[in-house]
Amino acid sequence: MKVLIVDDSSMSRKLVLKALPEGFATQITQAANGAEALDAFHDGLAEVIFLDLTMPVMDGFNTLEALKKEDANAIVIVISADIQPLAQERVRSLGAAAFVKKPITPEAMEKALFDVGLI
Amino acid sequence: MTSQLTVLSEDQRDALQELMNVAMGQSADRLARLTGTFVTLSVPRVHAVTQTLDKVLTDLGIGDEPQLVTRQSFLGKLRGEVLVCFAVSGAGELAELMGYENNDVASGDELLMDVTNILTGACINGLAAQIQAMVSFGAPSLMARAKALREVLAEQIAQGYQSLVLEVRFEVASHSFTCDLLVCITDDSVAVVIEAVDKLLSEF
Repeated sequence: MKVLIVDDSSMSRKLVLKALPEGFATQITQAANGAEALDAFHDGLAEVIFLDLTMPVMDGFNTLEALKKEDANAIVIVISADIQPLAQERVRSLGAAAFVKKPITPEAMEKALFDVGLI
Repeated sequence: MTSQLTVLSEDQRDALQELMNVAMGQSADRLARLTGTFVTLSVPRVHAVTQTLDKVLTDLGIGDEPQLVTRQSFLGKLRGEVLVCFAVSGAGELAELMGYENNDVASGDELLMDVTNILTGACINGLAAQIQAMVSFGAPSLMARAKALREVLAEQIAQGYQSLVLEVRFEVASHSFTCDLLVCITDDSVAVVIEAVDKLLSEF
């Protein structure tokens, strides 16, 4: 799987990387905001996108909207500290396949990947 | 005093910001549930008060407007104080957010204390949990009803009270309500935070 990790925090991106099951990712790309993420997606670098919500330049909500608008063929799993029920509802309605709260653990990652049918 | 913050590396700053991000998510969730609204979060910011006060206030961007400021201290391995900065009309805005009819000064103040308690508790507990520290809380109080943050912070810093300020903004777009949470960590417990951050970073 081509994996794209989108988060403005490099520590957070590393946590996502660490939580991925071994052998899951065949290629890994990292982006620090939504705009970079869309570029990477357009370059064909993302089959699965792990997306943070609170980011500068372009946040996760806007990124989801843009992906939805172009009917993007990628599975998006949101990983965020924004645990408001409304935030979770909103990302689901914008097409996210799953929501995982921060800080992510390997167990939560495995559950999310299982729930969306990726493992 | 020269603090370790002057040498805060990019990785340390990033990690601290992320710890704060997780902590403020918990505060926002509490505020959202309390008010039945959607709270928009901003990227948290880390300010070291080793620079001049002017620099910090410029960075904060809210230094000169009069604000209604509440405070609540926290104690333990992690020590400091949270300042919650509302608009001068913050109590009325909150009452409206909560759908309260009664809008006198006494009940407004009580509401401010409640909200300060909720935001501070969730945020500091969230921060402390991530660095495996236990904290307890003082009672919230009103610090200034309409004072520029520049003055409020100057008094704090003059007392040597803080050396690290973590800033979070909560916004309820549907009600044009905003408040800023400033988490001020004392100089002697900054080391605890830095140690915890280094431990996190060493795990990669």
